[in-house]
This record gives sequence, C-alpha cells and structure tokens, in this order.
Amino acid sequence: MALAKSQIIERNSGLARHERVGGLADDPEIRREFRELTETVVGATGVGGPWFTAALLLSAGAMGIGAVSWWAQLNYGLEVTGLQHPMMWAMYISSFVWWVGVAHSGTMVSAILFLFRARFRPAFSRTAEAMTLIAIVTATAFPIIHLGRAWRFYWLLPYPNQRHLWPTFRSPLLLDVFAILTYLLVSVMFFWLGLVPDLAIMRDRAKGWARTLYGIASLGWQGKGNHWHHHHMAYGIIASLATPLVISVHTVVSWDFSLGITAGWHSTIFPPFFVLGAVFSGLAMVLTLMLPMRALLGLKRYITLEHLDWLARLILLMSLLLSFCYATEYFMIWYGRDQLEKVNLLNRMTTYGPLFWTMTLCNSVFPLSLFLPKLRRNVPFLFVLSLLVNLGMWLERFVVVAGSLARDYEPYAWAREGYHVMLVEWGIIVGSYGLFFFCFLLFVRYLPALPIAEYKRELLKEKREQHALEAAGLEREP
Amino acid sequence: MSVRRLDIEGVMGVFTSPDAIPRAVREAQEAYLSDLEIFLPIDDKASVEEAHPAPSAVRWFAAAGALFGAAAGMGLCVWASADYPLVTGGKPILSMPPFIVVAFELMVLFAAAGAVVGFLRCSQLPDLTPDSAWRQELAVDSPAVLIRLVPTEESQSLAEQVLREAGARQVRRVPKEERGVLEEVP
Amino acid sequence: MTSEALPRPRPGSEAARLVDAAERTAPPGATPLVLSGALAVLGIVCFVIGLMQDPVVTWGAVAANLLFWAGLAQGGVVVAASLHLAEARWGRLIERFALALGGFKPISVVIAAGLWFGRSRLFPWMGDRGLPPWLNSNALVLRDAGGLLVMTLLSAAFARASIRRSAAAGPLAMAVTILFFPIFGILSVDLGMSPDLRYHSTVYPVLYLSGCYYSTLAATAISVALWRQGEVRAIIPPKRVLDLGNLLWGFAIFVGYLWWCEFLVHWMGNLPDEAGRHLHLWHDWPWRIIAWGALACGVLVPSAALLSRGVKRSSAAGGLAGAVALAGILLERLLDVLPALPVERGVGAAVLTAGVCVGFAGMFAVCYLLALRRTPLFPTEDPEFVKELAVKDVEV
Repeated sequence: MALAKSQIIERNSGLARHERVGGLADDPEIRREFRELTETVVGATGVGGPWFTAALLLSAGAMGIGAVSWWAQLNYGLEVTGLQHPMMWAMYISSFVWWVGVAHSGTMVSAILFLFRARFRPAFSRTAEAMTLIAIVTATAFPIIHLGRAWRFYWLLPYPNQRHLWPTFRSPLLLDVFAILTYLLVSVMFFWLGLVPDLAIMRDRAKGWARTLYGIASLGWQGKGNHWHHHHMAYGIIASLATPLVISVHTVVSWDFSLGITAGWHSTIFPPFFVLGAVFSGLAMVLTLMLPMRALLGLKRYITLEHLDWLARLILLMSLLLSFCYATEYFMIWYGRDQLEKVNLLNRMTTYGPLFWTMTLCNSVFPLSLFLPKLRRNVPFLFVLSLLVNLGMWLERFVVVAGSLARDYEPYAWAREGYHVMLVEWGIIVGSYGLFFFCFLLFVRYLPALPIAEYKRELLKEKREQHALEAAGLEREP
Repeated sequence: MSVRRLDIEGVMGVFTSPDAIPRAVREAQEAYLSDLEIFLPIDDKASVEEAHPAPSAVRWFAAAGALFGAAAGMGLCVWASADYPLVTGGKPILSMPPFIVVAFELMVLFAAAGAVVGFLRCSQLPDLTPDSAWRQELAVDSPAVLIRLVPTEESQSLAEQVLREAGARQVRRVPKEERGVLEEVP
Repeated sequence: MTSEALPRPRPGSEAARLVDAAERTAPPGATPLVLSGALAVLGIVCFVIGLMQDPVVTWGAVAANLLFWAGLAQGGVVVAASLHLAEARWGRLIERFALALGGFKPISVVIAAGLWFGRSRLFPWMGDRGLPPWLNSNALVLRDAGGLLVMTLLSAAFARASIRRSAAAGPLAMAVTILFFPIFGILSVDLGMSPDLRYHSTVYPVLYLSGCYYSTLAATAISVALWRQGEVRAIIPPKRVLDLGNLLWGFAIFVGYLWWCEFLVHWMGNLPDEAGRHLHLWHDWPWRIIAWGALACGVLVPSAALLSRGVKRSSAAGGLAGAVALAGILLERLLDVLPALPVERGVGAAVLTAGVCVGFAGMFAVCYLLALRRTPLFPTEDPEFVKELAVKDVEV
C-alpha cells in the first residue's frame, strides 16, 4: 500500500541519502511541469505572424543595404570611407571589437555560470549562446571588410606556399586570427552540444525535411544513460575550456592595440578592461534580445523578473568595474607625467567630447540606477538601459580606437578635426545589424529559445531542495 | 517447468520521476538483471551514476586533443618563423611569448574537438535508427528502465515484478522491431 | 528591521544533528595564540634590530608586508561581503572564516600611520623638486592611513551587522565592496608603484586587488583545512570544498593572466623604462629568485595542483595549495617594493626581511584567532545556513 506523502517525509527524515525511498519518485507534479515546459518552449518555435515577418524583412533590407555598400567599397576602394592618415582604424575596427565583445557575454553566461551552477543560468544561456555565434560571425566579417581587397583575406592564414612566405607569429593581428577562429569553432561546438537533447525533441515533433534536419543534427539522440553520461563530461569539459577562451580572445583583441606604443593604446590594463567591457556590452545585448522575446513568445513564466533582477545586478557589477578601469587609466595618465598621453586623453575628451561624455554617461552613470531594486525589475526601463549601454560601449570602442590615433607622436600628422563617417561605412554597419538580427530571428523560429533539458533539471533540483527542507521540518508542506 | 522463448527487446518500466531510477537500477542488478538501459529526459547525476559508475573516457580524448593542439601550435610557430626568418620589431626570430598564445588557442580548440569526438565515440552516436523501446514521451517527461536479455517467460515476469516494486507506473514488454532511419515514433 | 525567527530543524533529522554540531564547534585554543604571539614578538625584535642595521630594507619589508597583510585582511571582509551580496547560500559555511581575517585591520591602520617615520627610506625621491602634487610623502601616508581607517570602521560595521543578521548588512556589504577598489587601489599605487618613479602600469592596481582576493581565498582554504575535522567534515561537505577549490584555482589562473598581460605589453613595446624594470626583476640577483619563486608559488603550483578534481575535494590538499599561494603573493609584494629601493643585497637583508615577514604573520594570526574566539565559527542563527545543511545532499 502506498504511503501518504507525510508518512514518506517522516520516514525519510531519519535516513541517510542512499536509504531514502519514495520522496519525489511518485510526484506527478514533476511530469506535469516537464510537459508544460516542453510544450511552451517547443510551441514558441513556431512563431510567425505579421510582426515576425516585418522584423525579418527589415533585417533582410538592412542586410541588403550592407551588401550594396560593401559592393561600392569593393568597386571603388577604401577611398569611399573616411579612413585617412592618421586615423586608419575607425568604424570597422571599432565595430569588430564591439561585436566580439557582444559575443563574449554569451560564453560568459553560458560557460562561466554553468561552472558556478548559477540558478538563473538556464533562463538566458540558450539565447546568449546563439547570440555569441551570430555575433562572432558578424565580427569576423569586419577585418575582412576593412582589408579593402577582401579577396586577399586568406593571406591572414598560415598556409604553405612556394615562396616560403609566412605571416609573422609575433604580430597580435595574427594572434587575433587564431583566437577568433578558435572562438568561433568552440562556440559552434558548445552551442550544438547543448542543443542535441533539445533537437531530439524538435525532431520528434517535426515532419518532412525539417524532421530530417533535426534528426541529423540531434545525432539520433534518445536520452539513454550512456548518452547523458558522456554528454555531461563533454559539455563540462568544453564549458571549462570556454571560460579561459573567452578571456583570452578579447585579451588578444585588446593586444591589437596595447602591444603597440601608440599613445592612448599602450596600456597594460587593456586586456582585463576590454574583457570587462565585452561582458558588459554582451549582457546588455542579452537583455535587448530577451526582453521582447520573453513577451512575444510567452516565456514570462520561465524568464521571470527574478532572473532579470540577477542579470541587472551583473550588469551593474560590470559597470562599476569598468568605471574603476576608466578611473585607473585616467589617473595613471596624470600620474605618469607623459605629456603625449595627457594630450591624447584631452583630445578624446574635447574633440570627441560628445562621444566621450555620452560614453561615460551610458557606461558609468546610467547603470547606477540599477542599485534600485524596483528599476531592476522594470522591463521597459531595462530595455532602454540595455540600448544605452550598447550605444555607450560602441562609442567607447570608437573613442579608444579612432580617438587615440588622432594624436600620435608627430604633431604635424595630427588629425585636425574629428573623423568623418561616410555613407558606405554607415551602410555596412547597418548591414551588420541586419545580418545579426536576421540570423537571430531564424534562431527564434527554428530552435528552442530555452534549454529544455537543462531547465527541467533546474526544476527538479528546486523540487528536491523543497522536499529536503520539508523533511527537515524547515518548510511547510503545501 | 516450461521455458518459453519470446522474441522481445526487453521489459520496460516507465516511471513518474527520475528519483525512482536509481532504486530501480539497483534492484534490477540485485536480481541479476544487469543488462539495462535507462532513458532520461534530463541529465540526472544520481540515475546516470547508478547505471554507469565508471568515469567517462571523454576526458582522455580531450586531453589527447589538448596535447596535440599545444604541440601543433608551438610547432607551427617555430617552423614557420624558422622557414621565413624575418626580423620584426627587433624581436628574436623564435619569440616564445606570442608563440605561447598561439599554442594556447590551438590547445583549447583541439581539446574541445577531442571532447566532441570522444562524446560521439563513447556514446556511439550518430545512431539515426530509433531503439525498439523508444517513445517520444521518454524525452519529455517519462524516465524509463529497459531490462534486456530476458529471453524466457520467467525472466520477463521477474523483470516486470522488479520494475513494479520499484515504482514503475507502466510496465510493458517491448517487442523487437526493425525501424528505419529517422522513422517516426509516437 | 530584524530577520525572521529561526525555524529549527525537525529533531532527529540530519539537519538538526549538524546544527547541534555547528553550535558545539570549539573556538581556537590558547596554544596557537601563544605561538603566534611569540612570532609577533620575534618580528618586532627583528624590526628594531633592522632599524639600526639596515633601515632601508627594514622599512621596505614593512611596506611590502603592509600591502600584503592589509590586503589579505580587507580581502577577507570583501569576500564575506561578496558572498552576502551574491546570496550564495553555501557561502554561509565559510563566511566566518573569511570575515575573521579582518581582525588585523586596526593594526594595519597603526602600521600605515607608522610609515611616516620611515618615509625618507621608502620614497627615495623625497625632497626632489618638480614632482607632481600626488608625490608628497606626508599626504601619501595620511591618505593611506586615513583610507585604511575608513575601511576598518566600515568593515567592523559590516561584520557586526552580518553576525547580528541585521538589514544594514546588505548596504554595508555594498559599501565595503565598492570602496575597496579605490582605497586599496590608491594604497597599491602609493606603496607598490611610487618607490620607483619610472614604473607606472595601469594594470598594477587591478593586479594588487585581485591578489588580495586570491590570498583571501587561499587563507580561507587553509582555515577550512585546519577546522574541517570531526563533525565539521559533515557540515562542510566535499562538494563545497570543491567549490572553494574551483574559486582558488580560477583566481590562480586569473592572477597569472594579469601578470602575463603586464609582461607581454612591456615585452612587445620594448620601451626602456618598462623593459628595463622587467630585466631588473627577472635577471638581476637576488630579485630573480624572488620573481621566479613568486610565479611558481603564486600561479604555477596552485594552478597545476588544483587541476585535479580529487585534489580540490580534499580540504588538506586545498589548504596546502592555499599556503603555497599565500607565500607566492607575499613574494610578489616584496618584489613590488624592495627592488626599487637602494637596498644592501646580502644574507643580512634577507634575514631581516624574513624576520619582518614572520612578525607580520604572527600579528595577523593573533588577530585572526582572537576574532574567531569572539564569534561562533558558524552562523547557526542564520536560516540560510540551516537550509544549506538541510539540502547539502541534494544533487542533480
């Protein structure tokens, strides 16, 4: 005869873990919650309707603008851009750094929070991972666009040739090639590995060519014990690898600047400073994407205000750390008594004043509002703030990259005015956003926005903890 | 005593929650029904460790990949620099600091690739033909234990009894079925 | 606003047994206190002898040790505050170990003020003309001692609020964590960077602050290793020792990463001031011994040892790795200060430096043990601590 729940709890309370019987074994709540989660998340993938189509068309249109602009640049050369001595790195390199930064927080949310076993991770991890992949692909386009003669991009790669020419491995630009490619490939592996169990669920519900694609991508996954056993190990290993990789990739990107002796760039804090900024902007982008998704896909039950609160706290922490890095840099310029560094900084604050102070407001001042708990749970406020942070971080990249180049060692070569952004550059930037959002919309349409299996595991863990607390008499039974 | 041989895949018990799986596995093993397969909708550590106590070999694939990647990265840098000895920035031809960065990146890349290869190898995936016991509900909300190698009526009855006592809400005998690649299963 | 009444676990349950064990955990005895006091006295004697024999080395060693031990003390409070802010329930198991490290803070204020007497030895540029306003030795000592005093008062308020579980603990934790960065950043620039006017590295304050956090985790690992015996083994289960080990390993890698960032930028830039300093530290005698020792103890050995999951789950191994890491960070602080000073290199200087280090270690241990005797080792009045004991066996 089955025991009543209270009898099970009483019996279990005096037993060690391996001796406990019953407990949640007969709890039908768990099945119901698993089913509901699966149906909700899988149901969200069938998203369509006029708003979705409009968003898709808008993104495609933006991509078209980018394509036309790039065609113009390929046809007429880099003269159609604002690049000229001394500011030979400007919009494209700033965008490259910004997109790599956006990609970083995906891995941070996914891999680092996985290692910390953070409770709120499943609410964001899938979206963040997708964002990482798409952002890194978008980022990779920019150095190639910036080359001008983009068809010679393969010269960046070390391939054997009859002239025995090799790229120089002492150059941070080549270190960048390895870092970005590694990051791209590892992100693909990490994303796909985490997706495999959920792709199996999609496969079971799909028909026709979709079933074939999901089926191949899920490898015929059936959730057997040895599947999970090895999946757990592989996923944990890649998460452990992705963590130092995240830090190393943006460090290598920062070395593009700091390994030289250009004033404003030659600073040892650049690596951690860039990494912090990357995570900061990426977290803001996660918010920018998740807030509309949560509302439009009906995921409010699984992406709660508490989850948003934790994300907001992380953003606040990153903002404070970033502000400390800014303060340290400015202090050291004053302390170091290097005249050129001072002139360089002053120029950024004055000639590029509107950009500099907007950046400071967006990155250091506005996020302070997240000290207020009410604002951390205010969805419209968070959305606006995330856009401001994204703007502020892009401006920071531009001010550091282009603004520092404007005042180099030779005063005769100083740029007299600010940088003139040309139409082609705007077009390509717009195109990059178009590419990003187009791919992201496809992700929302065809892949589960939440990690179903992992979310179920989190639900089960909460139930088990609840049960343990009831057994210890620390919680009232419902 | 009659012994009737039946052509079935095994006896499957479907449970309400993953919490029941460790006990079911243990009791089946105690009844000498050790050819088991578990199906889980989630990665439940307790259940998986009960059925597969040995640590996964995936880590060795990852370690091998890491060693190869580090060596390949360093080797590429040294060989390419020696082959094209162009002095830049006054640095030595063989400059270890930047080479270490390349070696690190390739170490991570090949370690991750090794982990993926190891996962595929150890899990014997891809396997696009559904198991005879496979049902959609197993991936959604129903963990299950399939006891194989029960050719006789007696062994099947024993398996059914073990699974029922372990708390299975549904026990059935699974016939052997020849299924096609990616065949739809309800 | 006070916190809610504590619900007691069901009598006979595992959680109740563990709460009783936590309440019975004995404070440190008299013997370690006496031994630590003896070391402190030895250090003071070395200091006095050093003032007569070689005041430059002596004051340099004091400044380096102040950087290390004051950072460790404050790091303890910051780690406890971070665990509070992160609402990490498992943090309740170790937060008192970290918080008690702050017991040294009042002594650090006195020593910082005392640096005024040795300012001419510590700051060779004192009296030079044309220096920027920041490099005024009186103002330097004043701001450092003042900053340490502010942090001491704030840390004491947080500790009190945390132990009493008052609502003020949250805002105080936030204040302690935020102010830690500028105040100790300035301390690091004043004592670690300004002795050598050619040295300015933007990452140095970050390196110092990370080192403080890292050394706190190492000290906490040592404390856990020493106290995790008998029933305390059940209170702090292996998976929480693993969590602490992961944090320690992560910070070992992170500190190594920051060192590498500084090195590579200076190596590639090859500017005389920067590269010259590296050559001085890594090639000249005796600094290269200290430099390689700091790298090995602070980064290489802990990160290699803590790679293994099995090692991380052992509190003894974690404690040993923590001790090695602490030694490495202390060597790094000595390397930050001493090479910039006109020291007499020799066995005598080494003995004096070692004596001052031992003295500081003794004083720190006395303060730490006294702090542990004043408060219970585990927050048994905290409902989250009790809940953590109840769910410690839950795994997914």
